[in-house]
Amino acid sequence: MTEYFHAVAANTFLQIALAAGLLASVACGVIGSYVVVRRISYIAGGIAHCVLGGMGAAYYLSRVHGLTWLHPLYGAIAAALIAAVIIGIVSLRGRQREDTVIGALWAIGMATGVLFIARTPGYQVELMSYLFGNILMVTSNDLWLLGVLDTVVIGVGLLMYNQLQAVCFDEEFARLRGLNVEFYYILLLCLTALTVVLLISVVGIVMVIALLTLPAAIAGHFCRTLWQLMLASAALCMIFTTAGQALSYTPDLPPGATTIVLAGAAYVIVFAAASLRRRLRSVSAATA
Amino acid sequence: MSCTTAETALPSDNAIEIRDLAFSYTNTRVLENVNLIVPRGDYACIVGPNGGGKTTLLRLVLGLLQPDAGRIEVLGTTPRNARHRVGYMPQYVQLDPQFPVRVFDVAMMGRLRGNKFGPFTSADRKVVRDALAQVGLADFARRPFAALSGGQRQRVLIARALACEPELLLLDEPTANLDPLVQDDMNDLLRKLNERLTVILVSHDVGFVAQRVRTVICVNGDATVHAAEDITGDSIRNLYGHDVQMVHHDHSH
Repeated sequence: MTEYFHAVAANTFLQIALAAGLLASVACGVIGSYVVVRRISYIAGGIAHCVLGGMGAAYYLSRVHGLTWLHPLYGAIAAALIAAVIIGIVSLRGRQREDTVIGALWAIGMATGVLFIARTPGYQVELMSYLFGNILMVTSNDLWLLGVLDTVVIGVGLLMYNQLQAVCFDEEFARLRGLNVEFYYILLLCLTALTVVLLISVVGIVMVIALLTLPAAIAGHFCRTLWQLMLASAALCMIFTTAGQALSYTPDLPPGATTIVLAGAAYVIVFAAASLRRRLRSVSAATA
Repeated sequence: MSCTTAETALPSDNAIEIRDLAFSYTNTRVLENVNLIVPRGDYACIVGPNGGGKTTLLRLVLGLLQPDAGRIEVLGTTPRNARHRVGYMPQYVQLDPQFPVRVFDVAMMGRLRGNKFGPFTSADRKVVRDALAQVGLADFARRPFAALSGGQRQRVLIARALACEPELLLLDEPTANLDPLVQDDMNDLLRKLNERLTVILVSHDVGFVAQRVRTVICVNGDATVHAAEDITGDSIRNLYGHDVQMVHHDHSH
């Protein structure tokens, strides 16, 4: 641990990684809370996996067709937004087959990405870093892009707080108050999509849902309002990403996976403690 | 208390006016030949067997469903245009019991408008405080919604409907899932609200409501209106085809 802190002071790339983790954590706390209370983690998972299609396409076009300005992150943003809109419309219209369609899009997005990357000459390390994250590869240019994304997501997520809360809590009543429920639903999915893109550089496509939902699931045990839930999940997310980088540094482990294991362990502990407390309480109530 | 509105709605003496209404879900006709007038100031209850179309009728009046034929007027205009002058209370069991939200914030949702953005004003807060006081929950404003009993949650949802400053209050099964004593409290509250609002509720519990409301609307494919005092065991048997909970809930004082 101390070795890590000395290294951070000395190395810019570690500082950038740290900043990227902290930036993504704020959006993760705000949007992750909406995702958890609205119960759309499966949809968020679908969006996340579709992103590989966009990243693969951007990677292919920039390497093979010389579109060097086309950063994989742009491909990720485009794919995430398109996936969010398609999945949103599917889940609004065809209620019965929603999960089938999301599952299909999930796999199709990934398959497209794998094909593009396979046709791109060079090392296949890119695929691994998209799938499992490589926060140490974030450059200072990426950091700017992540900062802009973060600002957009947090800004919209908080400006629309009253509306989004009402739509998540009671969609029908929100509709009766004249809110365009479909618009807010798709908007929420688009914000989720952008948050997924932010988190991909931290933990990668496969593990995004865990970081999006575990902090809010843990915080849900202590929080009484959506506001508190957002603040607490953002704080937890910062702790997990920072601790993940710090703990993985000396033994040279993948930071993304370390972060997720930490978050998962914290969730299991809190869940066990909460159910134990509930059982103790019901026992003491029974004996009283 | 009534909202001033931009629409040039003709002043109507009726809260609800329905002419020759028909509605079906894909292949099943649920309502046919429904003619119904509920005057302003009425305290009415929609009763009928499950699948008879009570909830469908409510959703048509709210403009959440479109009729296949016929006309619905709510407060002298279309259901959609009337929406913001109608307070709607769903059953609390339809809502996520774990949602992290305070009582005050739930009631505050009644102040939302589709064309209004930004934070709530202090006037909004005052309306919501008044609404919570009216349902007897002024001291519960900062409690988590999830920590309340069923009856209290149901009253929060009435406060949320009142926060809309409605002219017409529509309630879906306000006494369902409540124990009899709490049902009596609910009835007192609704009767008090009826002093200044039109109140229409849906209930499967005929015996309970028949002694308390002014008008009973029996919905079973079509709709027939009875004055509450005319409701007898026979007319209920006709509607349901068998005896219902008339005796079971007869705890009038």
